[in-house]
Amino acid sequence: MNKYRLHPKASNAVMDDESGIALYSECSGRSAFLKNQHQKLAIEMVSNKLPDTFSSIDMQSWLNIDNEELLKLENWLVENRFIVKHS
Amino acid sequence: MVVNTGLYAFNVTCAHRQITPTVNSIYGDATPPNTPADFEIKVASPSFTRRFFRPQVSFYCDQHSPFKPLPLAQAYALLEWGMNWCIATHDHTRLLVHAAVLVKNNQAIIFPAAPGSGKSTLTAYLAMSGWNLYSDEMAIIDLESGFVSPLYRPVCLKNNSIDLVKQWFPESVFTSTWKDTHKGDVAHLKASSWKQYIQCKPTEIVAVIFPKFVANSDLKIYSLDQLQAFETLSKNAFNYGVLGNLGFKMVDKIIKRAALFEIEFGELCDVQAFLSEDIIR
Amino acid sequence: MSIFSNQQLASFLIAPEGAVDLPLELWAKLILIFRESKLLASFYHVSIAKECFELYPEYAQKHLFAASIHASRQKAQVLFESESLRVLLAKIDVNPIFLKGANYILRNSLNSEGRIVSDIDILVKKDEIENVESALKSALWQSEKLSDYDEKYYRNWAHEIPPLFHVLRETVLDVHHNFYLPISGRSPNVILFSSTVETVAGGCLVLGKAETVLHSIIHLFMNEDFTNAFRDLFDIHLLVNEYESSEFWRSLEILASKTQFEKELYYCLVLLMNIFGTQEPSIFPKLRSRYKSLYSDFFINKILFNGIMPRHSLLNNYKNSTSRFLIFIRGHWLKMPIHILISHLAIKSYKGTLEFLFGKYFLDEK
Repeated sequence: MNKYRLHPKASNAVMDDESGIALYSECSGRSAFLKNQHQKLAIEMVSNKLPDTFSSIDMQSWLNIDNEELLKLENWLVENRFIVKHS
Repeated sequence: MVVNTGLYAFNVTCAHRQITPTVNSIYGDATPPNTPADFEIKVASPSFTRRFFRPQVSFYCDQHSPFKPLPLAQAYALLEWGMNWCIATHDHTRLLVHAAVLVKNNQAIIFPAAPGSGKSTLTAYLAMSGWNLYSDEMAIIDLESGFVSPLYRPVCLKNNSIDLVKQWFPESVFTSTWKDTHKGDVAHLKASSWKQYIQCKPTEIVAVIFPKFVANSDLKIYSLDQLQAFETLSKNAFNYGVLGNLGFKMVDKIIKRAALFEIEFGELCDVQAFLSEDIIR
Repeated sequence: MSIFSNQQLASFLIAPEGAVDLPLELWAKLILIFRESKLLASFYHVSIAKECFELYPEYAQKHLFAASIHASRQKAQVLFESESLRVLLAKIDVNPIFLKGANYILRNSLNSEGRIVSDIDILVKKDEIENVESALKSALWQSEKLSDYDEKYYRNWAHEIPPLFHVLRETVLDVHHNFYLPISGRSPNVILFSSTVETVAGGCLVLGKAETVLHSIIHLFMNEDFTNAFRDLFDIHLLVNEYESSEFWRSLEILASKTQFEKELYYCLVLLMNIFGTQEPSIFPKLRSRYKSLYSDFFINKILFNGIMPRHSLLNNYKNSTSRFLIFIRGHWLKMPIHILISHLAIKSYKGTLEFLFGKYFLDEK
């Protein structure tokens, strides 16, 4: 299981209405819109920001996606400098 | 000839003689700006032969022409589109969203929309019904306050809506209709005077509404979640990609403060009633 | 009549405090000229560095600031693209050397502040070209459809392959295997440049300091297109000021001599001193004694000096356009043996005539 944190040059905005998270990467210049499919997101993000570190399993449960989609998403988010592996 | 749109001034050199009276009828009442023009623009023949043979005109911003030439008859429409292009590609000190902006009781509603959504007809209708017209094409948003500023420009109407607006508001001031442009028939409506314009001040955005005209439809109102609004609004911002994090933070601020809706409408009076009763406080 | 001379334009860049009292009408013209010569954002950065930006009129501030935001985004984008390219090509064991704008941005030299970069240039070994091209093409980099003539030009004569662009991000990439056309007989031995590379941000390779400067000089003085020449000369001014040391000048002199670009180095130094007031380096007297002649005086002071002026209708006069035309002819002359040159120019000028008659867009392929 991979652990991640936000890329130091990425910003995140957690939606007040619990609809999801918007991300922006200053490096790639891209935005990502991750739709919340699970109540867990709202509970974990009471402080209105992403937790400092999170795992693939966390992402999978927030977004309610299968393993294959998860793998694609992880790669895309890393490639476009939204998140980095946390060691 | 200097065209003053309030926030931006354009020095129009070498305009075709045909368009000078139209420019004067739309912008003639504006006070000349007290600084030099922000953009040097002209509408001129792209080549020597094209002055005589199927005459065409190109729009130039300083030394360059960003679009394909158009038939001479569409010169004024080309000038208006060219002015939008100048602003959208140069002013990165503000967030510029492709949207109409209308204001009532010092509260601004922005209407980002795709072509064919009935946005301009709605804009003309509201502007002629006592709302303050801030823009038909572009919401100009301050990156610190998040307030939207007015622009002194006409409303660009297309096809059937030209005659509809003329019927509804017989006293309205229109340019001639430019036939068969790439957007169909086009005419510009002068929906406010300079005197009204200078009363308009930067204003807080209270709602972001994505309109869609559906013939004979009852008014349908869908509330949008913040993430959907974030995505759509950022895709409608001309310079979101250039502003980077500044643009991201501003879109975040707007969608968290404003009411967010998508509407389908068949009758403009229903929309006005909804906006006046449920949105504007 | 030009409203500004080369030296005046240069003085605003090296001493931006001189623009504080400029009347607004002249500011408007200066902004147009600097925007057209891709120097508006650089001008913003020099005025910030010299602490005079705040003293400029609001009208000037808003245009300079807007340009700087665009340039900053571009800078971030170039860093990202370069790093992504490095990672992509590492998979086929190729480590490209980044050139020109990407080089400046990666090495974070002073001239990279506000530098507008229209494409990314990389250098790879000639025998790697095919692999590199196919690796790029399988990663969303594509080339435009070229005319048969242009395709043949690139494949047979050029020092680079046809430009590639990224399908999603629209970034343009030039892949070189040399700095100059092999067919000219003047392309330098690339090993002299690639043996001293430096590793910078994100693990990318760039040319060494002297190599960077000499490449900029070759690019400027051997090129037929002088459109961005003023900006390119300003780049070199900032680079030599930043890297200036007796060791730097000695390396530059040796490299220029080994690659036979000493004459171009001499031209460049004379122009730098005349236009940007660059301090005379220790290597200059030797170069002058070797290359100063009636011809080179005339060529530098009349042709290059006039031709280098930014290309803008406010600055245009007969002398500038004639000089640019002569530089255009010379640029082609240097590149190709005469029989190829004549057919190349004939095709280029035929296209030019059609454009003049019918307007550029008439020729666009649908």
